[in-house]
Amino acid sequence: MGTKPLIFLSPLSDRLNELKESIESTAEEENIEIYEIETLEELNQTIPHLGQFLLLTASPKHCAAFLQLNTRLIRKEQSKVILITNQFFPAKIVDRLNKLGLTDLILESVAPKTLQYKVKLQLRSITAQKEEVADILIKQDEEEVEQRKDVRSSDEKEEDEKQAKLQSLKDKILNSEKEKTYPGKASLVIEEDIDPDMVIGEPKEAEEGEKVSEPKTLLDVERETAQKKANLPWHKQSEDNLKTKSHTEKIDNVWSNKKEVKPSKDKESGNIEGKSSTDKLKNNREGKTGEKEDSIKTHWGGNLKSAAVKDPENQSDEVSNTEKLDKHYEGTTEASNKLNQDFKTAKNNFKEAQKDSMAGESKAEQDEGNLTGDSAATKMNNKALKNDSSMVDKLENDFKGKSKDPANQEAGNMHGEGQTGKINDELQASVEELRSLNKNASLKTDLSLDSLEDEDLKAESKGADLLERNLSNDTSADRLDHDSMGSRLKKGLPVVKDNSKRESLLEQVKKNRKKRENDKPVDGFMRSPNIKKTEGQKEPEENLDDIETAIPIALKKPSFSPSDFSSDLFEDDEGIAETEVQENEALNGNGAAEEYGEDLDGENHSEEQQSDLSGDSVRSEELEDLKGDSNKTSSLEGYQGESSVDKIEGDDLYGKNKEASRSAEEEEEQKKKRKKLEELYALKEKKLQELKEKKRKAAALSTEEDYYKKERDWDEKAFSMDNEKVKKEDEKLSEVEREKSDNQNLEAVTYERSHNENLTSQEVEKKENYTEEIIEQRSRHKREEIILDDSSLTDMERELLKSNKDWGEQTINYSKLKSGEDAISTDRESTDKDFDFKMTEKEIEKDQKIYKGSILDGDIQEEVEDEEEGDKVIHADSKGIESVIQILNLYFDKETRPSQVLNRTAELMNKEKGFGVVSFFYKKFGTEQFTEILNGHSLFSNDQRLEMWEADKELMVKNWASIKLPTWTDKTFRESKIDFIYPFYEGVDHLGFAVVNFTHGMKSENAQRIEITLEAARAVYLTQRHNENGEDVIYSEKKSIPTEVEKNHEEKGFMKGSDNLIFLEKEKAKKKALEIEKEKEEKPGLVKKLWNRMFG
Amino acid sequence: MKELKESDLFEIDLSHLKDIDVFPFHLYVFNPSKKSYSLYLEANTPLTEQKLTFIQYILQRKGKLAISNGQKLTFLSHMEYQDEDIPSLIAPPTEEVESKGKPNIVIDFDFEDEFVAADKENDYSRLITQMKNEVSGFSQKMSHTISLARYLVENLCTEDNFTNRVVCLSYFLAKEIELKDTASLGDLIVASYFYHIGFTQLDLKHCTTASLIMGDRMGHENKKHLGLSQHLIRKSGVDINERCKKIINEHHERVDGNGYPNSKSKYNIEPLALVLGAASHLIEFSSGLIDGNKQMILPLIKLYEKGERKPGLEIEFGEHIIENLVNFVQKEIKTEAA
Repeated sequence: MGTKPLIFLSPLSDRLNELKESIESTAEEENIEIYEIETLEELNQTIPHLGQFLLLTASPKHCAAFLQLNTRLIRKEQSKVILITNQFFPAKIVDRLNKLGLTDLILESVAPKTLQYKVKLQLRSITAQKEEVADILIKQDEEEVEQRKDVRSSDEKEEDEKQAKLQSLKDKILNSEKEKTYPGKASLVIEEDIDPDMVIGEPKEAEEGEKVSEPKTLLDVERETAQKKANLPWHKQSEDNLKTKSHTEKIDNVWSNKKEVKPSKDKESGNIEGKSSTDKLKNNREGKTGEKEDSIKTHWGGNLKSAAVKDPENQSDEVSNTEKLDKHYEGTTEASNKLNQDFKTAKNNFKEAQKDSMAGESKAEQDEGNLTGDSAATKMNNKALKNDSSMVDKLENDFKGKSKDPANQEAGNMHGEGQTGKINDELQASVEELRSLNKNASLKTDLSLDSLEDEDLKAESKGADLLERNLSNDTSADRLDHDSMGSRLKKGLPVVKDNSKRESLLEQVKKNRKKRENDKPVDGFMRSPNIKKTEGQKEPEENLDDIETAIPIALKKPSFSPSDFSSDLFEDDEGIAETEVQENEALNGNGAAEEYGEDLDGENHSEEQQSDLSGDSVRSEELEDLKGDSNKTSSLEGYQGESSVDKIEGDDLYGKNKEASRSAEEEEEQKKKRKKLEELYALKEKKLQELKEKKRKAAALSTEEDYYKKERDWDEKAFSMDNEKVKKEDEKLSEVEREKSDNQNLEAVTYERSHNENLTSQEVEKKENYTEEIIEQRSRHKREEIILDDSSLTDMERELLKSNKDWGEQTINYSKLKSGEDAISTDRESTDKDFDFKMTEKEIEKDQKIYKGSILDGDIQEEVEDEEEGDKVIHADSKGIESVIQILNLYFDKETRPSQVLNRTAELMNKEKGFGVVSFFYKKFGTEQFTEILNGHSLFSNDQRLEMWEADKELMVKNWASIKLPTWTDKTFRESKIDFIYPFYEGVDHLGFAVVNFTHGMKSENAQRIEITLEAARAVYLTQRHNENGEDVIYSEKKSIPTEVEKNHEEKGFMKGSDNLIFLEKEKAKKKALEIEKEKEEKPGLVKKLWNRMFG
Repeated sequence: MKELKESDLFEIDLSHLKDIDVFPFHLYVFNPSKKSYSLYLEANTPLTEQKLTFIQYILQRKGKLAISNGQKLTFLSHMEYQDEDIPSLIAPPTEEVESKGKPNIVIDFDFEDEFVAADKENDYSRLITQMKNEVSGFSQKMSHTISLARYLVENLCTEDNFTNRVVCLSYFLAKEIELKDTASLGDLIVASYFYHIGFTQLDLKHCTTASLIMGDRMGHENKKHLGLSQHLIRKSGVDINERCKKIINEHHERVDGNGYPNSKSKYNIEPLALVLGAASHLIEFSSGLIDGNKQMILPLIKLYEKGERKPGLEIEFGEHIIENLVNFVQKEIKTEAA
C-alpha cells in the first residue's frame, strides 16, 4: 500500500499546527505521509516525486507563488492545495487562485472540526501513491537511456559496416546521406559533445543477454500468424490492429530486442545485407534513427535555448531525461537572452559553411549546389526517413495487429519480396489518386512532380538504380534548391528555422518511436499510452503526440506528406521571399526536394512492401477513405480539408516561427471575415451543415480513420494556438509518462477532461475579458483610435458590425502570448467536442461558484446581487412603521411611563414627519368624561396656537368623542387646516381619542402613516384602562419560576390524544378480559357445582 | 466596436452646436432601438447638410445627440458654454440614492470577539454599528424588502436598544449559518424589526414582564402579539415579501414543535424564523424578559453547549443554530477552560 502525501508548507499558523498534530496522531492508520516543507524551492523539488498530494499552507504569499509555479503539475496530478488563512480576500483573488489550482480557501475562523473535516475530505480523495511508481520511473529512464545506447551502438556498427562494405547501394545512399547531412549541420555537431545523452554509460549487457533469447521463438510464431492475417481485408486488419494493441507491444519488444541484439550480430548483419530486405530495412532504420538521433540531439542542444519557450512540447520528453532538465530550464529562463544569440550562431555557422564551399572558386557553384543541395537532400531524406520511420512503425503495428504472434511478421517480411511489383503498382495507383486530390493544395509543384514521378516509379522496381538516378536528378534539383537556399541564406535565419523545423519533425517521430520502444520492456501497467487508449477515449494526447506521425500514417502515403511538406515549405518561403522570382525558385527547389524525398520514399516503400504485404493495400485503401473524409470536411467547413494538414504540420509542429504565427494571424483574419459573411448570408445553411457534420462525426467515431480525422479537425481549429498547443503537448507528454506508471485508463480520461475543461475555462474567461481588454488597450492610446478605426467603416458596415458583434473564432491576445498564458480563445462554433467541454465547464463553474461562496464571506452576496439586481433603485416605503418601532422600543424599558410614550408619539408626529400637533384624550373608565392626557400644542406650538387650540378643544371635545372611526375633517386633503381624529377602542369600550392638527395642510399619502403611528400609542390606553377596570389582575397572576426544567416535557397535544386512544383501547381490552374471567369463575364446571352442592 | 455607456456621455441639443460646421470633438448619436450610443461624426469633420438632416431625423425619432465626457471641456470651451447651459450637465443623475454598491465589510471585524465583548459589557453599539455599515451596503435595486431593511437600519440603528440588539444578533447569527445572501438578510432584518410591533396593541406590561412568571392568562394574551403584529403590518400596507411575513409569524415556533402559533416543527419552520427566534430569545433572556434577571448571554450558550437546560432555556432552535451559537463563544470557552 502506498501512502497519501500530505504536505505542510511552513510557515504554519497556530490553527494549522493544531491540525497537523491531530492528523499526525492518526497519520499511520490512515496511510498519510506528512511532509513538512520549509521553503518553496524544497517544495518545488519535492512535489514532482509525490504524485497526487494535498498541500496545506497558511501563507497566502507562498501559496500563490507555489500555485503559479506548479499549476500544471497540480492539474495534472489533480493535487489539492488548501490555503488556511485568517485574511479575507476579495472574490477576484480567490477566483484567480482557484484557477491556478487552489482547491479550497479556508478561513481560520472556521470551526476546527470543520477544518479537520475539510482536510480529511480532500485527503480521502487523494489516491494513495504507489511505491512502485518511482521505481518504475527510474527504470523507465534507465531503459530509455539503454535504448538510446543501443541505438547508438547499433548505429556505430552500421557505420562501420557501411564503411567496410560499400557494395550495397542502399548503404551507399545512406552514407551519402550521412556525409551530406553533417556539413549542413556543422553548427549542430559541435554541440553534440555537450549533449548529456552522449555521455551515457555502458549499456547493461545482462539485460540484453536475457532478451537475446526471445526473438527467435517469437519470430516463428509471428511468421505463421502474419501469413494467416495477410489475406484479411484492410479494415479488419485495422480493427485487429486496434484490438490487439497489446500484441504490438510485444512486437515492439521484439523490435527493441532485435536492436539490442544488433551490436553482437556483426556477422548476421553482414549476411543479411545481401538479400533479406527486412533486416536491411531494420538496419537502415536503425542506422537512420541513430543518425537522426544524433542530429536531433545536436539540434536539440542548439535548439533548446532558442526554442525552449516556443517549443515546450519537447519538455516532457526531457522531463523523462532528468539530465536534460537543467538545460531546459536554463533555456526557459534565459530564453529571451539566448534566443538572439542562438540565431546568430546559427547564422554564422551557415555563413562559414557557405564560405567553405565558396573557397574553391572553380567549383564554387557546384559546391554550393552540393552544399545546399545536400542540405536540401538531407532534409528530404529526413523527411523521407520520417515517413519511413513512421511508416515502419505503423506497419509494425499493422502487422502486429494482424498477427497474433509477433514472429509471423518476420515471415511476412521474408516472403513478401516476390510481390513487390504488384504492390508497387497498387501504390502507384493510389499515389496518382492522391496527387489528383492534392493538386489544389500543392499547386504547380505537382506538375513537375508527376513528370519526375514517372521516372521514379519506373525505377522503383530496382531500388538501387532509382536512387542513383535520383541523385543525378538531384543535381539539377539541387541547383534550383540552391538558388532558393541562397535567397534564404541571405536571410540566414529562416533557413535555420527550416532545418530546425525538420529536426523537430524528426524529433517528434523519434520521440514517438522511442516512447513506444521504451514502453515495451516495462511491466504490466507500463504500457504505451497508445496501446492503452481505446477508441472511445480519443485522447488528444495521442493526437498531439503523434500528430506528425498520425497524419502520414493515417494517409498511409509516403508521397503524400512530402507534397504537403513542400507546400508547407512553400508557405514558409512565401513568408520569407520578397520577390516572385525567389518564390518561384523556392518552389522549384521544393519541387525538386519533394521529388527527391519521394524517390527515397519510393525506395523505402519498396522495402516496406517487401517486408509488408498486406500493409500496402491497407495503405492505399485507407488513404482513399481519408481523402474522401477530408474532402468532405473541406466542402462542409470551407476552409478545412487538405490545407489543414499543411497547417498542422507547419504551425503546430514547428510552432515557434514568427511566420507561423503570422500565417496564423492571416488565417485568423480570413476566418473572421469568412465567418462574418457566413453568418450574414448563410447562417441557417451553416447550422444545418454543422448538424450534418455532427451526425456524421458521431457516426464515424468508431473507426480509426475518423479518429484521426477528427483529431485533425480538432487540431485544425486550434492550429494557430501555437504556444498553447505546444504547452498542451508538453503536458500531455508528461502526462503520458505519468500514465505509464498508472494502469488506470480512467485516470487518463478524467485528466483529459479536466485538462480540456481548464482550457475552456480559460477560453471562457478570455471571452469575457475580451472587450475589457480591448478597451484597456485602446484607452492606453488615444481615445481617438477607436474612432479612427470605426470611421473607416461605412455606416452599413458599422451596422453589420454591431449586429454581428461576434468575438468568436480565435482571438489572440498578444500581450498574453508574451506572458505565456493561453492567449487564444476559440469560438463557440468550434467542434462539438469543444462545445461539450464548454458546457460542462459552465456547469462546473456554477458549482464552484456556489462552493466558493460558502468559503468566503461576501461572495454569495455579490453573486446574488449580480443575478437579481434590477435596473432601478427601489425606494423603501415603510408606511410609518419605523415610528411604531421607535415607540415600541420605549415599551421594553421598564422605566418608561405611559406619558413618555405619548410624548414620544407626539414628537414623532410633529418633528420627524412635520405632520402636525397631536393631543391625546382619555375617557376614564365608567365615566363619559374625556380628559386631555397630553397636549401637543403645549409642547410644540406657539402661544397663539395654543390658545386657539384651547378654545377649539372646549367646543369640539364632545364632537370628537362621538366619532367612532378615524376621521379626517377634509377627506380631500385640500384645506390647509385639517384635523384628524383617531379614536381608541378596546372591543366596544371607547378608551379615548387622539386629535392631530394640521395648519399647513397635509398630503393624503401621509394619512396612513399618521394612523399607524397613533396606533402605536394604544398600549398606553389599554394599560390605563386595564388598571382601572381590573383586568390587570391577569397580569398580577405570577408563576414562580421553575427551578428545574422538566426533563420529559409533555408530548404535543395530538400525540397525547392518540396515546390516550390506544390506552383506552387497552383498558377496554383488559376489562373485557377480566369480565370474561369473572364469568368463567361465576360459571364453574359441572363437577364444581356438584362439589359445591355436596360439601357446601 | 465598443459601445459607449450612457454614463460616458452627456446629452446635448442640436441647438447647442450653433452654426458651426466643424467641431473639435466627436459627436455621438443614441440609437433608441438598440439603446446604445455610437460615434456619428468624428472631430474635425464637417457637419454637412446631409449629416445635419440625418441628425435631425434621428432626434425626431427619440434619438439623442451626445458628446463624450472626456471631451466635455473641449466642447464647453470651444462652444463657449458653461455647465449650466447644457441641461444634461445641470442635472446629473442624482436620483440614484444608492451610495455604496457593495456591503462595507470591515475586514478586521471579528463577530465572535465583538459579540463576547458586547455581551460582557452589555453594550452592543459596536455590533450594531457594524451591522449598520454592512446593511447600508445592500443593493437598493433588488427588492423592496431589502431596500426597506436598509432604510430601517439606517433610520433606527442609532442607539443600543432591545430591538436593535435582536436585529443585530439575528443578522450575525444568520450570517454565521451561511444564510448570507442579501435577500435572506434583508428579510431577516425587516422581520426582526417588525416581529414585536404587535406589543403596541397589548398592555404595556407584556413588554416588561418576564415570560416565565407570566400567568396562564397573561401568557395567552402574550401570544396574541403575533397576530397583532401581522395586523399592524397589514394595516400599514407596508410592502414586505412573504418570507418576511413568515419569519414574523413563525418566530415563536420551535424545532421540537413546542412553539406557537402552529406548533410547527423542524423543517416546516422557516430557518430564518428560527434564527430570529433564537436571537430574540437570547436577547430577551439577557434583558430579563425570560426569567426576570438580566444576565449575560455567554453563560447561556455555554449551558447550551453542555446540554444543560435551565428554565427558559429548554427551547430548541435546532442543532445547527445552537452549534453556531456555541461557535460564537468557542474561543471564550476555551480560554476559560485554560
